[in-house]
Amino acid sequence: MTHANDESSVILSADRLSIGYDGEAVMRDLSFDVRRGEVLVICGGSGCGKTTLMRTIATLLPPISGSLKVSGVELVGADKRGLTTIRNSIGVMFQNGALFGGLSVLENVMLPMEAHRHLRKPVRREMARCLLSAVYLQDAANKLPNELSGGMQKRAAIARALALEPPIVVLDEPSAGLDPITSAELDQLIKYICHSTRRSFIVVTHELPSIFEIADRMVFLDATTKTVTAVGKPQELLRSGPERVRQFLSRTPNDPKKEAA
Amino acid sequence: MKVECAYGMESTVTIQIAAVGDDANMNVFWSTVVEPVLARCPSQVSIHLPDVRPLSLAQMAAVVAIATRVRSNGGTVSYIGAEPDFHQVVEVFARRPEDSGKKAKVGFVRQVGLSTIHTVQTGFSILVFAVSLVVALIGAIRHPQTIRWRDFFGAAAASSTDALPVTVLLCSIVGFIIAFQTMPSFEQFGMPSMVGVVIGVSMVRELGPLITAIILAGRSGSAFAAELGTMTVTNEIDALRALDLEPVRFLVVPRLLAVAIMAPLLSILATLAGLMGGYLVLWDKDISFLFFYDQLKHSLHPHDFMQAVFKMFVFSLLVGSAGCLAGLQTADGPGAVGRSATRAVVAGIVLVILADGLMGAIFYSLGW
Ligand SMILES: Nc1ncnc2c1ncn2[C@@H]1O[C@H](COP(=O)(O)OP(=O)(O)O)[C@@H](O)[C@H]1O
Ligand SMILES: [Mg+2]
Repeated sequence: MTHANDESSVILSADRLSIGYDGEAVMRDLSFDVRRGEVLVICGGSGCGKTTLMRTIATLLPPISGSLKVSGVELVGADKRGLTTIRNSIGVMFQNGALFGGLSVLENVMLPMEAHRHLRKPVRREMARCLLSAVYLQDAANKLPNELSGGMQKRAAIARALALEPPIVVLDEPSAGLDPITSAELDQLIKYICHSTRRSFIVVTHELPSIFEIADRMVFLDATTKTVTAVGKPQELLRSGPERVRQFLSRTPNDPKKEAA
Repeated sequence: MKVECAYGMESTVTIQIAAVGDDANMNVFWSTVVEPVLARCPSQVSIHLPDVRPLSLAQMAAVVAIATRVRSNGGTVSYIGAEPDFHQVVEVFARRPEDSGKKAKVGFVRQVGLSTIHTVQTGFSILVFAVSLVVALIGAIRHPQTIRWRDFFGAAAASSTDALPVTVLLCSIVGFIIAFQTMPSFEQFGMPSMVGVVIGVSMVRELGPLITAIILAGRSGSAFAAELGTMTVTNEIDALRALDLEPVRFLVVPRLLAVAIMAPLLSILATLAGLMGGYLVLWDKDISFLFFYDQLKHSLHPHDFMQAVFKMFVFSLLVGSAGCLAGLQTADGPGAVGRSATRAVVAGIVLVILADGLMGAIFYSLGW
């Protein structure tokens, strides 16, 4: 692949991006990009700002400084049309699912299609059924969200995030709260959709098996330095990444002797 | 876009899936090709796939709809122009529920039975709530250090200072209205100054507390229901119980104490505002304030004021407990908190007016 080709395959890029609430930065100087058709895993300790980054990418939280380009549109200072372009190219699954409680699971998945596409209802319904099948929720189609377990709600939210077939899908801790088998199946699903449709996935997770299974590349956020510590393939980072990342990926506890020294 | 649907011999059907088009094309494809095939359900279908990969979700939905329908009738489906693992790809999207039977309808007799049980259960739970409330209140008064003062002060401010402007405004307007509505009749009898007595009696004995209680139901009753209702929905009430903290004692008692103390004070100010509003009309008829004051002194007795404060105390307990009970009884599901708030306000106002009538009758028969 030529260099120029490589450049054009970048679908989202953050450059010296600072994010946080009310002008107070949670993370600073984030620089990374997401390529078309790859799974980028974002990991880091609890409370380090992963959800904050998701919210920023989803245009729900304005960046403090720096630049964030999505599908060629700059988010900082974007007008209404720019924001619409960005929002239409991103599907988000929130950490808690954020399903609409008054609608059945099937209606939750159909809602975005209803608003943004001009398809007849039977088409939309069949499309939504296909998505629910893909996340193993075919039997829960007519249930209300509060009748589902936490893991099922997450899968329903993934289906909703995919409803408009966005080029970028953002998943906030999709496998948290799932049993290992379902979680592995979900990994396969993410990989499958990603590679078969050249869709990009940004996945927040700290589950090591999941990271090694799905990540084409990973971005490691560090709460102590408040920025990106490493970007790369998980296998390479495990072999030759910064010490903190290797510790994370090999699941080594902090060494009390070393800390004292 | 090409739409082909050739119906061959022996109910073998060949379908060309529409190449990527806009939504209008897909709608046409669906009604001219997919739906007829679904209706006829041929035993053998070969589906020609378009060249462009990946298939869009709408295209995949068409393939899956036909494939599941045909196969559920024992037919066979073949894909033309597909990669070898396309069968598996379809399987990913083609899982459908085992039985799509609708929920059984509930018959009339069963319906009546269920709602009877529900009513009895509701009555019983109100009784349980009342008993545990009394126990908790006695406990709180005996051990004031166990009261959650933070909740108490929050509810106290919300039901007094925050409610003061609207209560004063409404009461003074009502006093004003009563005065000028009754004025013509009294003028007819040549004694406009008697309006002062009407305002005094109606405001002090009846309307001051009643209006305050209704505002209390609208503001604090609904707020209690929403607060406790949200906590119920988010399992916080369960968490309290699991920590062996009795929700009635922990959440209801401070709120009830707050309204029971603050609302009577508020109703005193409301009553004064009502009297002032009424006096505006007298003032317009050149009746001096001293004269008005004198009339009030002669037509009202200290026990009228005591009665009003006592009534307000009862009203505030009713409104507060209706709000908290509605909150704790919040069902699951969307809109449940909203319904609880509505129920709190309606129940609060109904209880207040019932209690007002009852107390009025009792006081009257006792000759107070
Ligand atoms: N709405 C908010 N307002 C202010 N600070 C917040 C808000 N939400 C989260 N934070 C703070 O931002 C930091 C990162 O939180 P978050 O992005 O949720 O972490 P995580 O990596 O676990 O998803 C935390 O220190 C948290 O306290
Ligand atoms: Mg998070």
